[in-house]
Amino acid sequence: MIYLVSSFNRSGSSMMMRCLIAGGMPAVYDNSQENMNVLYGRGEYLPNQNGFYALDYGEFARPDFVEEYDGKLVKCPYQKLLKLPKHQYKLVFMQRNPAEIRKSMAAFTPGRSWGINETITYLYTPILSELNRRLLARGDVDAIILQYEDVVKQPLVEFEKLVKAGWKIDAAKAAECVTEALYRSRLDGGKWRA
Amino acid sequence: MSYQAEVKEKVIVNGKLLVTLQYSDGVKSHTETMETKCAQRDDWILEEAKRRCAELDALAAFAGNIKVGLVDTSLAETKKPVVDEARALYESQLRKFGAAQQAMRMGILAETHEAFTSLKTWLINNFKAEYLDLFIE
Repeated sequence: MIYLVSSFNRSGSSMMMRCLIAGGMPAVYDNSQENMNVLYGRGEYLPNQNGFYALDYGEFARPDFVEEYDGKLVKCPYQKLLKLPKHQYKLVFMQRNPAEIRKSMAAFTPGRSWGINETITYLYTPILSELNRRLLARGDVDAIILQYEDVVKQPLVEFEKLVKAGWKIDAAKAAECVTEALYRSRLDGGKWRA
Repeated sequence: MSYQAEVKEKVIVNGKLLVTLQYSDGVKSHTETMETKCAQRDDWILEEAKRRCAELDALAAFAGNIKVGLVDTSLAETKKPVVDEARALYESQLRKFGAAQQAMRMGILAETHEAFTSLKTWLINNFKAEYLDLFIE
C-alpha cells in the first residue's frame, strides 16, 4: 500500500503532508521545491512557510516506484495520479474553493499566470469529476476527498474521517499541526478575510 | 485455476529482507523475490501476493486472446488519420484563454471583461470527459 496526498495547486496538500507525518505516517519527500520559498518569498510572505513536502517529479517515473515507496506516504502531483503503476493506493485529495486557489496563486507569483494549472480552477467541477471517475475506474485507488477549509476549521473531525477510512494515524496529533493563520487567501461568507 | 502464492524462503542479506514467493496456477509456477530495507506493515506480503496473483491471472487471460500467426496489418495501413475538429477547436480556445488569463494577471484585462468571461463560458460548456488530458498532461 502506498499512501498519497494530492490536490490541484495551492489547496493544502503540503499542510496535509505535514499533519499526516505528525500523526505518525512514514513519509518520503525531498527539497526539490523548497527553493520556491526563496524565489517567491518577500517581506513576511512565504508561499509555504512550513515547507512543500514534495518529491522530485522524476521519482514517479521510476520503474521501481512501487517497491521504493511501498508503505510510505508521498505527495503526488495530480498530473501523475492516473499514470501511477498498478498497485494498492490510499489517496487523500484536497479540494479548495477555486477563487481562493487563484488568489493564493496571485499572491505566490504576482502578475504571472499559472497557465493550465490556473485554467483548471475555472473548470474545477467538471475536471475534478472526470479525474475522480478515472481514479475510481483504476480499481486500485481508495480515495477520500477533504476540503481544505474543513481541515482548518475542524481538523480533528477531518482526521478522524481518515482514521475511519483506514489511515493509520493519530488523529489528535495530526490535528494539532494545523495552523489556521496560514490559511491565507480565504473567503468567509463570500468576502475576502483580511 | 487462478494463481496462488506461497512463501518459500525468507532471508536477511546485506541489511535487506528478501522474501521469495512462489506463484502457481497449478500447472506453471515461478518464484519472485520481494525485498525491503525496513520493517513493513503486517499485511505487506498479503497485499503483494494478492496484487501479483491478480496480475498473473489477467496476464494469462490476455495471452489467451492473442492469436498465433500472421498479423494482418492491411487494415491499419489503410485507415486515414481522423481529425477531431471539435477537439482541435477546444485546444485552440484553451490556448486563447491561457493568453487572456496572462493578460488578466498582468492587469491588462479585467476578469469581468467579456472577452475573458465568454471564453471561460465556452470552455465550460464545451468540455468533454475525453479532453481531460489537455489539462493534466
